[in-house]
Amino acid sequence: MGPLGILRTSEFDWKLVLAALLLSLFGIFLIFSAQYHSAEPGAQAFYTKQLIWLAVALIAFALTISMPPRFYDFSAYLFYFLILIVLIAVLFVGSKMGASRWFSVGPVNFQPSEFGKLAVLLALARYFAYTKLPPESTKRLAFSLILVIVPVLMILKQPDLGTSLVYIVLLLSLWFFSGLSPVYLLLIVSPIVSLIAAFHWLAWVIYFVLLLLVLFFFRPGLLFSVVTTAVNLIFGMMTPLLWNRLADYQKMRILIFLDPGRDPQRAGYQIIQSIISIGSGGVFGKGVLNGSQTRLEYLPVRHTDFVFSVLGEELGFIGGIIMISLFGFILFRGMKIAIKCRSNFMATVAWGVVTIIFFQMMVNIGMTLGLMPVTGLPLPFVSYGGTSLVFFWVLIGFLVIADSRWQEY
Amino acid sequence: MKAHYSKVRVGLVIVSFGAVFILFAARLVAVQVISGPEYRAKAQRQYLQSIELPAVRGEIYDTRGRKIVINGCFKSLFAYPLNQKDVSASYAQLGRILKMSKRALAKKFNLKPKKFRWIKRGLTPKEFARFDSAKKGCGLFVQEEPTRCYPFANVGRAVLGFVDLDNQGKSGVEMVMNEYLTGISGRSVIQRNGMGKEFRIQEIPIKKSLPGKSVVLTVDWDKQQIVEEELAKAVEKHNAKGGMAVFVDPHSGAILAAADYSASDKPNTKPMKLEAVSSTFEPGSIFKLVTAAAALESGLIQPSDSFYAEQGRWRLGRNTLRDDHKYDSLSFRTGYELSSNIVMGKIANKVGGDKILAMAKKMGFGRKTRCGLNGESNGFVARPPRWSKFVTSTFAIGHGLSVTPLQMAQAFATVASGGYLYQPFIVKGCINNYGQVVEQHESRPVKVLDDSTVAVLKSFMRGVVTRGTGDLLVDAPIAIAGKTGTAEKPNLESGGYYKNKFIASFAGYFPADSPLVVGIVIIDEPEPIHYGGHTSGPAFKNIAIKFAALDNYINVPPEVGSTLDNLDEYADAVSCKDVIRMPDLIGSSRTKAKKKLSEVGLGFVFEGTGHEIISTRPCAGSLVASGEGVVCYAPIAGALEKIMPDVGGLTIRETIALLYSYGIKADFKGKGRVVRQSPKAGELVEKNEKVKIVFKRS
Repeated sequence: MGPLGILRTSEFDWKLVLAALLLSLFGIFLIFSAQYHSAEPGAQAFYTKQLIWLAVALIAFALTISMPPRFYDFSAYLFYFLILIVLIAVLFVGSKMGASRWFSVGPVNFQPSEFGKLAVLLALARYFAYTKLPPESTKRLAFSLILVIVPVLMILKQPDLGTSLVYIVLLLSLWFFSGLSPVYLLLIVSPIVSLIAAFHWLAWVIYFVLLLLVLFFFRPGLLFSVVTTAVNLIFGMMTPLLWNRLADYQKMRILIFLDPGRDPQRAGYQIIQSIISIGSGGVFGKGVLNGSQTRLEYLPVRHTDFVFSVLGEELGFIGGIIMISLFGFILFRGMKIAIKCRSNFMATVAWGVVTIIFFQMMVNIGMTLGLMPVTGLPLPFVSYGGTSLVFFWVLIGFLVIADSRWQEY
Repeated sequence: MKAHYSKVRVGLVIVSFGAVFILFAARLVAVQVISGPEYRAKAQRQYLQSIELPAVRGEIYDTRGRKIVINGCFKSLFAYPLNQKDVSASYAQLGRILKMSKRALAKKFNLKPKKFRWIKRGLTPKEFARFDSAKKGCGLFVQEEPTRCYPFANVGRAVLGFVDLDNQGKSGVEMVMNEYLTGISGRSVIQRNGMGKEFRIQEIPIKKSLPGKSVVLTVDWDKQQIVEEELAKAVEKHNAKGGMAVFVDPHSGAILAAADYSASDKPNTKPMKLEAVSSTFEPGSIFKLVTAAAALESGLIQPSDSFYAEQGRWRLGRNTLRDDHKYDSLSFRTGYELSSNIVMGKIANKVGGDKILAMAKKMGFGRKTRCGLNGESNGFVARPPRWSKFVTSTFAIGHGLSVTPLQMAQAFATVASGGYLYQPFIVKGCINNYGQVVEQHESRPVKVLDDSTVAVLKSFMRGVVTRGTGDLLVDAPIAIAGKTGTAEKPNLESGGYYKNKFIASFAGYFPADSPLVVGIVIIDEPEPIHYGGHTSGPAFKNIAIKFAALDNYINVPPEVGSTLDNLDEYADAVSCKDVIRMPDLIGSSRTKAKKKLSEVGLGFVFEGTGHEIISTRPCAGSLVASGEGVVCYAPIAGALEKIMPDVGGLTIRETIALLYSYGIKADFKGKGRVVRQSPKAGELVEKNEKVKIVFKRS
């Protein structure tokens, strides 16, 4: 089979690609609508830019599926190190909007942390696919953690909390997929719960008692139990310290998430306006280009982070359900592919793809609906942003490969 | 790497994914389907704002169709600092604008971030200039607010009253007619965008405001000025405390002029009431008209009946009734003409107090005239406990009762009108926005005196001037008739009367044979001359002469006529950029009119569907505050005929003003006052017809 010979196989999942394409076109249309009335120079051309990016993304998709799975398997670590270098570079060179997340190559702004996800996904998949260590092995856990933590630290330095969360969640999900018991997973996550519970001493005490009970019943091993207990204790005590370490906007985001009304004119404004937009759309929406919230610029960053709110306002409940269903379809397909695939490497990659798409979708739509704090994670395929679009199409490419070559080891 | 085949694990993942999808779907249902309408309303509330479009206040015209109030605006300064930095910047700027120290400002205004505060409503031009030259953006703003300007300055201010800061009438015609003048404010919706300070405002008118109705008064501002000037002159000349005067058209009750003057007070720009209708006085001898009328109506006494005048002192028990001069025997007629208290007292006792009281009530005393001005008094006319001879006599000569100047004018008007009592009124009617009369005063005369009585009283009153106490008025070029009054002022503290404080009055009408104007002039505490015939009388005479000259009953070179020039002075006084002269649009097409109006910077509304402008409000040449809207009338063809008004005797300016207000074009010939008009008053003026007016210097 030559390159793209895959397209001719009966295994090629047209429906999956079609769903992704529909979401991308949906996105371009919403970007067009979001900035149609904008007075900002150049904003009206965003959708044309995105259209060009979609072409780039489709080429990237084609390139991705033309490579054999082995190629990714072999080059995973190399790619990982390349991306690490780029991430270091962006800290020194890139800058945009106060956060150094961007790299300018000619007229194109390039966000390396998107491809960092790709690199980490491949590296993790490679490690999990070939390691002989049992899932609970401390060494295995530690190595995979290091693979993730190095880029995360660099991304946190940029600073981009949302993207670094994607990495963490990816790691947890792959741990789970590669056989880690859910109890372990819970215990590993427990320090974070401890962190949050420690905002109130009573909550923390109750939580801590529960933790001890879990440890007592599941007996994950003495060392693990002791470490977990200790880390939980330390995290619980660190909460006030850590809180003070957070940047003001990060603190504000958490507070606003808990109570959007606390500052309706400033920080809570985004969430309130987003909910008003979606709510005012009603069942059928106000019609294309007719959303007052969008048109009159009440909705902030409406072509990127809050693109789902534009959808909710202009196409209503129907539009929202259609988009969520498209995501559901892609995820369902992805999950099936991951389970079916015989190659450990490709199966893990597929599972990671599902994780990333699901997590970003959940955080983004959850944010627009007021169910999640504002993180600035784009909605896969839909939000404005070329790097993100190309990245997600590469992910779809991975799913297609994992699907069509599920028998290859 | 077999773990992912575990059904439990896959199930766990699917369940948690599914949970998220269900949560989102549920949230969408809650937000969009259930609370959708609520959020839609919320969205509208934040981008749509309903604002009030204030209605243009109706205008006030005098009886000759001249606009005597102008809608103008004043500039008001307010503070709305956004933050603490703005607050201190505001104080610094206010210090320059208002010339006050920062500390005094802080104490007076106590500015706080995001708090609205008026600093000064009605900036002086200098203050505004200082504001204008300072740099903007520190939280100080100027807003224009509508108000009233009075082109005739202080003339007739007590009649017009004044408006408060919110443009609502607080006294006078402005208050009484406030409901008509105010109009109905409209509503408009403003759309604002979400970009912080930069509002993009688009106005979508929903409901146009309906301008207030215009009020036409009976007062003639020329006459008003004459009366005010003559009254002031007389008060100053006779070292008096003050004075009041009212002039009325006896054949309708229309108040032609009503004035009061106080020697000690400065001219009041915010008079609460008009003294001539609100304050009462003890009339004294001018009330003898009522006694005489009662006597004649009773038929008990004939004008030639003779009475012994007791040599000036008539003892009635413990009291004595005095005359200024010692007379032997006087006829009723002579007693009236010479104003003998004793003769009138004797007649009163013969007629009976009750009959005089009844006549007083018939002539309108003791109750408000309801002339349409605020603050009117009832006066006091009541039956005494006992009609003793003395009480009857004093009542007959106008003591023991109180009246308002307007009531007295009303009583004299019953004689001048041939025995009819007309209710005095000041509002002729109201005109709506389309130039239609919506309300008009209707006179309902009541016959109170027999023709024979009227004839005798008329001869009495002419006699007062030709032979009696009003002899100073006899040389007037116009025949005046009336009655003098010189009343001791009651001492309200100790009871009894002051021996050296008088109310001097003259009430009468002219021309004596066919009266056109009836009026009263009252002078409070003149010194040293205190006779009504010598103080109020000459003032009445001067007024009569000027009225006559104004209305062309006699050929006296008029001194007035300069009144309209005040309009120009007014235009100069108000900073010129704020006041725009209304261009002449009559006869031009809609598009032309639109162009012209936008050129000068006036807002406009078209009424009617025709193409040609036939009338504008305000009329051409009027002063309009910049930014104010004007109305152009362009009715459909066929509805264009108008009725020619009477312009007889008007000056050129007045004629122009009047004809423009009717929307009639005219050719003028000559100078001076109108002597001929074609077509005649009341006839139809065809579309595009130019009426012909001929003026001549008198």
